[in-house]
Amino acid sequence: MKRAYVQATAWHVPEGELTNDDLARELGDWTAEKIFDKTGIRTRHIAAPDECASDLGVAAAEKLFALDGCNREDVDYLIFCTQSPDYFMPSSSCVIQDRLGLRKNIAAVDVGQGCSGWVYGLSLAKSLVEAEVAQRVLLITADTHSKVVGPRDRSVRTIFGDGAAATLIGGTGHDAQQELVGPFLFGTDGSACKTILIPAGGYRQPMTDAARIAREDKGGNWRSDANMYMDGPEVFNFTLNVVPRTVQQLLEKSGMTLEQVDYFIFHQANRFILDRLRAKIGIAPERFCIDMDWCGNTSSSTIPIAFNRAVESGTIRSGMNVMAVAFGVGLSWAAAMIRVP
Amino acid sequence: MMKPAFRSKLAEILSIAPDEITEATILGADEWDSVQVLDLLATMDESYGVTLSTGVIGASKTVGELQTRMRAAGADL
Repeated sequence: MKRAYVQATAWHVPEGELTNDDLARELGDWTAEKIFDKTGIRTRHIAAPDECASDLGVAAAEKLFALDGCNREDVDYLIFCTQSPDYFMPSSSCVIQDRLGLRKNIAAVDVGQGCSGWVYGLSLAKSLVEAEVAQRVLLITADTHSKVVGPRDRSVRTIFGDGAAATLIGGTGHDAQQELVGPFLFGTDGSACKTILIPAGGYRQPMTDAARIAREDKGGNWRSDANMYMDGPEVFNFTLNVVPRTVQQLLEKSGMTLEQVDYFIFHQANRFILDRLRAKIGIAPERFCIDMDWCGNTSSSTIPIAFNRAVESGTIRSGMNVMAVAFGVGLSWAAAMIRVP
Repeated sequence: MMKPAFRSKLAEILSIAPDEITEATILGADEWDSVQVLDLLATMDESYGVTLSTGVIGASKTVGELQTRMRAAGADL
């Protein structure tokens, strides 16, 4: 049967930077080194005021189209995964279709998913290609969470950076035996939807002047209902409970052992979480990706950015089995096995 | 018996010496910031393989109460 595969990836981050020195000067009570110790992040890239997630996504896709064999004329399905859309309507994917000069006889759709978004998008792309609904899917992930982070909220401002990734998913001939993308595992727990949340601005709680008034929490962080809220300890509990089990279940579904997976790329949430997960699952450090000190947590783009950089550095090579594990806002999680063509 | 790594982390958070910790030691966890809670959760998971919700930690007035809730979650201490 026809098999979907990851043909190529590319990424883009904005020029603006927010270093730990900048944060230490602004926030006062943490030194630059303490911020690094707690997060594993030294700097983040920050979009300009007039720079949107779609702009970052377009830049990532243009880098993709500069690669051999990646032609915009071949794309017949565009998936844009973001929680930082240009407008309530239309979908940002429609805007991107035009800006990238993609054909008009293609599908373009937004997926409103966060940290687990790339794995979800990959599962949709695989399904479209293998069902022969589409020949070549362009999956773009992009977010600009810096725009919704409270300036005096170190619980999130130290962690999130802006960024985008573009992934081209193609299909093999009909005689392919081996699955190259998948199997997948998914999970959702909407009962904890307020663990990571921007309360105001949608129809449930419309934006008002009162919603923009920042208040101090017991930890000394200031945020308004227009800002992103994240309950860090509960997110940590969630990942400790869900991720090891998900890894085990995906290994069983794949018929593989932990040792047969060549490389693990988890959502680059922060180093504190990643270190604990790696130790708890028992993955050797050299087979576990931590690549976020230069860009922070870019939400749905962390995995494809890390994947691309690991390919570029030679860490990931042809024939390798890579496990991608994503988790975050929703609460939502997903894992995928990827065989590198 | 409290494991040394857990005792050490608890002492660090409470800014007291490890050997000063008893079951009667006041936690005051409802006033901790998220980094302190995270540190405790990570050490709890590493030492005992259990975690507690932030609400349960915050409701534990003393070290003894915290230990009782950790035992209820499956911790061997």
